Amino acid sequence: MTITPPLSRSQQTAEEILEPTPMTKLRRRIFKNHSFLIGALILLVIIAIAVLAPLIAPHDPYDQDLARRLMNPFWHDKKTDSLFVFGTDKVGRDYLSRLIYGAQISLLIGFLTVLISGIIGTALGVIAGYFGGRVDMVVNFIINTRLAMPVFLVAMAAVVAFGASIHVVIMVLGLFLWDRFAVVMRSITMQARDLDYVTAARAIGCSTPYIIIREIFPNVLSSLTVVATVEMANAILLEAALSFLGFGVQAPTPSWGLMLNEGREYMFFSPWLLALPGTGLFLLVLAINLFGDGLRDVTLERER
Amino acid sequence: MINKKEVVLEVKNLSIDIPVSQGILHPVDNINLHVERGEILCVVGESGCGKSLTSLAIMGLLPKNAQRTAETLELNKEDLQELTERQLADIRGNRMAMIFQEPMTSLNPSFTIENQLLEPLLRHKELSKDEARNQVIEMLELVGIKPAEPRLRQYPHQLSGGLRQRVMIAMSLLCNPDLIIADEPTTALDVTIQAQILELMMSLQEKFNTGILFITHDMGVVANIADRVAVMYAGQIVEEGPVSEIFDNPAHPYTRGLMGCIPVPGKLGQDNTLGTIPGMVPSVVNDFQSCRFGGRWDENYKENFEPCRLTEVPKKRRSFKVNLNEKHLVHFCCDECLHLSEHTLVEGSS
Amino acid sequence: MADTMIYGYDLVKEYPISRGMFKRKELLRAVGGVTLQVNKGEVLGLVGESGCGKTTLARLILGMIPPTAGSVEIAGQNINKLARLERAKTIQPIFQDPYSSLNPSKTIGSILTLPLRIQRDRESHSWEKRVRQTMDLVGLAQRMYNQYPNQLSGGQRQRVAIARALITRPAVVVCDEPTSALDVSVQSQILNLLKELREELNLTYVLISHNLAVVQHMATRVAVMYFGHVVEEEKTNILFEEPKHEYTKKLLGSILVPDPNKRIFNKKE
Repeated sequence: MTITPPLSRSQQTAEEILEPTPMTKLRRRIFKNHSFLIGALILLVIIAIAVLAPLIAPHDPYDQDLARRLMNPFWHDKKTDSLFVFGTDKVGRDYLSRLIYGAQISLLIGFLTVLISGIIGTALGVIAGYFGGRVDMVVNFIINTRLAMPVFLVAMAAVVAFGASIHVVIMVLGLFLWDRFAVVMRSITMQARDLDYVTAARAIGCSTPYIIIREIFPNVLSSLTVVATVEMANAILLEAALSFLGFGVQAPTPSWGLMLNEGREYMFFSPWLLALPGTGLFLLVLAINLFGDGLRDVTLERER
Repeated sequence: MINKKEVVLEVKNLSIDIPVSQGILHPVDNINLHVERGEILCVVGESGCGKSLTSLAIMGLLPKNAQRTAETLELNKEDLQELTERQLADIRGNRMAMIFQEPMTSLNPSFTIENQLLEPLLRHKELSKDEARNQVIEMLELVGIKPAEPRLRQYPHQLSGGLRQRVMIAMSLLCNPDLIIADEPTTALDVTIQAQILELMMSLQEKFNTGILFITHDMGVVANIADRVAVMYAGQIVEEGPVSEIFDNPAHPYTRGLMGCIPVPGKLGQDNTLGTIPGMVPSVVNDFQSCRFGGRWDENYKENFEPCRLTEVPKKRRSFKVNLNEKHLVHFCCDECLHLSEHTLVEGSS
Repeated sequence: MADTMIYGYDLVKEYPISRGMFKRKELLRAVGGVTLQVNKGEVLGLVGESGCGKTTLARLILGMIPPTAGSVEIAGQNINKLARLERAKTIQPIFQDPYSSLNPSKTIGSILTLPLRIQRDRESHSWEKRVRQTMDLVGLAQRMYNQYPNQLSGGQRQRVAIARALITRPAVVVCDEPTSALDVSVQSQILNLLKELREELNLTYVLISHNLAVVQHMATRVAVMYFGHVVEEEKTNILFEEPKHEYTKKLLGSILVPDPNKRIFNKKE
């Protein structure tokens, strides 16, 4: 039998359970979860870049100069310029600056879309899950109607109808990506509704809004954030795809998807025009997914 | 009574260690027990005392991170520790069967009752499908499922809890095992069904002369079915003996405390309150330095009472066994408890 | 004559069971016409097997669900017509599982203060004092005020649940299997506590349990439920000595007494 240094039992009274508080446990688990830490780190770096864009971007991302078009990035030998680290695009705009401002666009679209769709979906889901019955049936019908509509086609149609702009993209995505929020929130709220502490809250006279906001909502928050990360990655990719096809953000705004489109014709001669915004998108979506996965592990374990 | 009974299960110095972040858990600590053919040994204790882990250890079904050490672990004189996983699988369900608390988790929901009952027979015995099927029907009727034929085509979820447990019992008896390990088999059932199932188990056990290791927390069940009882507390067997001895003449303070906690009409203390065991079960992380039962003595135990509060017990002197008589064994974790209990140490015990 | 505390008259609760979207709904009768009366200071034990409707009946008495027919009066007032806060001050539940009845993200102190806050109790400066007094009353150590439910044992959590039910001083407490999730040594502590509190605070209990020994120990009167009906109701000692209904006899015949000399099975030898 292995003998390890014993804990001093005399220091504790017999009735004590040595369990840390929920917050301490959560903190410990966060520092053990590598995917969460890596995802959070990359995400923080990208967010910092986006927020500090005016300070760190070396040039104005809209500043054209045909004389210096298609400069090579620093790892090439010929036709480089130390002022343009990642080279320039077909109209001579600094590619690094456009990439930095592109992060702004992607994150902005991601956050705002998730905010709008999150509010719609959570409200519908929580209401359906808590009240059940007829309300649930109506909400289910709305969810099914929404699922029957192809996001991409409707988004393209909306852009054609209202004109292409970043606002239209955000509104369309926000009004369409709430289905997963609604489905997940509905089922979680249904489970939470039957927990004894919710019944106890009703018995001590809490009102329904109070129960939903103070007793149920904090306990579905972790699942909500996990869905939010998935939807955010989804929204960013959809925006990139729409912009790539010309139905999203319009030139000259520096969106990564639009940059991919603009670089398409130079794919074989200047592949970095595609590779750089592609890497940006890849890193951002990867970071968000790692973060979301890690968050799920960290918080779900807490509930176990 | 027949004097020399055949021992079906022999366990000596069984320990389970589980490494956790705070050290090493010792949920089961050097326990000894044996089951004879045709007897029911009830292992009784509260949650976390190690009784379920003991049964899993005997079957070789411990979780991967748990380590089992034992001096002896024999089923019918055959050493279970030496067997390969394959040989063990042959023994489980054949010579050693198990019945769990929730039959729904041990019956596969996507197979019919017939499929599940045929499987062990076809696997362990050389029988044709028709012969096996006849045996299955016979066994189902024996456990009170009559008529058995229509039930064969049903799925577990179509049966009630009581019926499912009957199916489990039929399944465990099909290969005529030497030993049945039953882990809280009636805890999830209603009282009337529980009584039926227990009665069934007892009559079948008599018929097949199997040994049963019955794990439960319910003293009522113990009193009604056990031949012998082993009381577990904090990973150790604190008292072991014939059922009448344990109930009429409990010797360990924990057993006494437990008996006092159960509401039995006409057996209450003054002012109609139930007895309690003060304090809480100590955590089983690392080696015990202090007395396991320290501070939990009930003041009614005797007059002029001063409970054992040893915080340091020398390692060599952490185990005392007292033989009250040939069969009744009490186990103390420190000499202070032994002294307090006013039992005297029998020569030769450790 | 003692005061009538709970009066349930011809209570019926039916649940619709959906059989698919376009089929007619079937009705499941969980409670089918129960009349009961509990006097102040009494402990009514409700026994029966799973699915017999005892938990539904308890929720009807608590006013958590509206009855399909019939009415419940607590201290002379119809429970379903009482305002939410009034109802909460009259009758409180204690649940079976102390692990799910406490919100894991709140401290014991805030769990116990919530009823006072919800009642918009004026003397907010005395909240903490009253919470701490109630903790004392149920035998919780003061240091637990700032701890979380996961730091307490099952017995301690059940004490918290009891304290939460009692802090607004209700007249009636409905205990739904208050000890069946607990070990016997903890069960006895909780049962003793419930008994003491009843005497100290002059409470009326409805005690639901499948454990007949617990009911026999605690209850002054016992109602036996079977398929949504009360088949027999009698003073505890009379019911246990001379059961009249066939089902009661069967139920009592299944009790396993923890005494090897009183076995109900015929054993070999």
